[in-house]
Amino acid sequence: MLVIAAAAVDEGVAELAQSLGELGPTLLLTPGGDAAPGGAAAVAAADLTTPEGAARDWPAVEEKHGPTESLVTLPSPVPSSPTKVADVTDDLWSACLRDNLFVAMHAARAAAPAMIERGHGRIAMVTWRLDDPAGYVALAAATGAVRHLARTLASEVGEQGVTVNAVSVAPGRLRDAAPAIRLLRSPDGGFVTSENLSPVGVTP
Amino acid sequence: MTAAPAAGLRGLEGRVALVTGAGQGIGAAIAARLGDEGCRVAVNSLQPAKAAGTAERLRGAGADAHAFPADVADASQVNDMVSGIEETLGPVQILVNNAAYLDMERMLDQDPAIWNRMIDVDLTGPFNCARRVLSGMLAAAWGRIVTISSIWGLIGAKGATAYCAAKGGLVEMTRALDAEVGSAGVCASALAPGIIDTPQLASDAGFAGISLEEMKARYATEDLVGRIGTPEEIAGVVAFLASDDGAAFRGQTVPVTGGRSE
Repeated sequence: MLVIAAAAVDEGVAELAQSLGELGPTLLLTPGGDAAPGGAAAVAAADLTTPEGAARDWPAVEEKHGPTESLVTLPSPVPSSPTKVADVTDDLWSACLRDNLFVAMHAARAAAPAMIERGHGRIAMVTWRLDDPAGYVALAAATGAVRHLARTLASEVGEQGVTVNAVSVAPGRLRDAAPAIRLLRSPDGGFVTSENLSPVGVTP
Repeated sequence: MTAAPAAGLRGLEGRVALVTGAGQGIGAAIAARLGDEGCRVAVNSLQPAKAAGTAERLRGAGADAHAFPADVADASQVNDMVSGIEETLGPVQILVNNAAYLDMERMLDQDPAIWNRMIDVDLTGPFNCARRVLSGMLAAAWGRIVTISSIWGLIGAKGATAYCAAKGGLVEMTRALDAEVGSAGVCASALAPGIIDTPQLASDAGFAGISLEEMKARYATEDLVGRIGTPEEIAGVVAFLASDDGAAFRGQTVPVTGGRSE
């Protein structure tokens, strides 16, 4: 089963879930268990923004839906307007880390042990490629951290058959990640790990 | 030669694919995989017997494959080769620039003729092939040029200055080529393999002064996955880059290294 973990659902998340759902069983996890528009993926509630939520919800989800063969973590939406560094509040900073870095970390930490036990697993951490990060310092810090989380986790689990990669896409274009995820979770992607793939859109 | 299971790749069935340097190793695996995906495969090698051998194996597996021996470093031979492919199979729709030559030696000891040969095969060869097939791709508004660079083209390696220069050049050539002619229909991309289990490793072992098995074991400890790669794993990513999905990586070089960074 492919598990998609996100802090919230929007149209971009739904679109990507639908695209990935064409390949097989797909489960979308959010704190509220929000349904994805289009309904291509099954949904479940799992609060991966906190360690307590992940420890509580992940086992229940796997017990009900089965083992996670591939995990895809998604970024939070890009704020609609920039915020200068001096105006970044503690709440904004914390939310950015929580909804991007912590979701990725908690989900990976929950999924990896069983993957290691099975000797096979694929983790793709989708994040934003901020070509012009001015005004988005919190998001830039979080996305950079996600890329290095993927790179570092890959070094810890590589010999156990688990690959970990980051997939960076332009803001608002989650659907661009689909081809890269299709490669990474296929048998053809087994020797790709610890990388940051940066796919571009093939459709407008 | 068993290819990896198909990954739902789209856009490959019936395409005419030219794979250079397909007499052995990675190139032979790429040719086999593209044959399994339904491509009609033109098998190139400098050595006619090796090209014929790979083509025969592909036909035995049910593929439509033909041998086209030529030296990719020679533009005239490339021209004749592609003309022959066009007569036999039709215009080349997928070009896989795989042919390469590596002679491990310290730069200070390098014979200039060997340096030139590496640049000619490893850098000018892909240029010769791309230039020859591009007009047909542009006319058809569909084409894939997938070029095999190397992790050594990204990070360098002792004893391989010419090879590294050429493979690094391919990274930038791919970026420039795609910028010049790329679109969703026609695109160029590259792939940087890490250490792959091919006959080339014997040369690496010789340069390091250790046995082939010791060389493989040393390389394996340097990869995050704890092993070296297989030609089939490279072939799978080449097939992906040649497919419709591959357009997502146009102009880019995808590392396939098992997590190698040094």
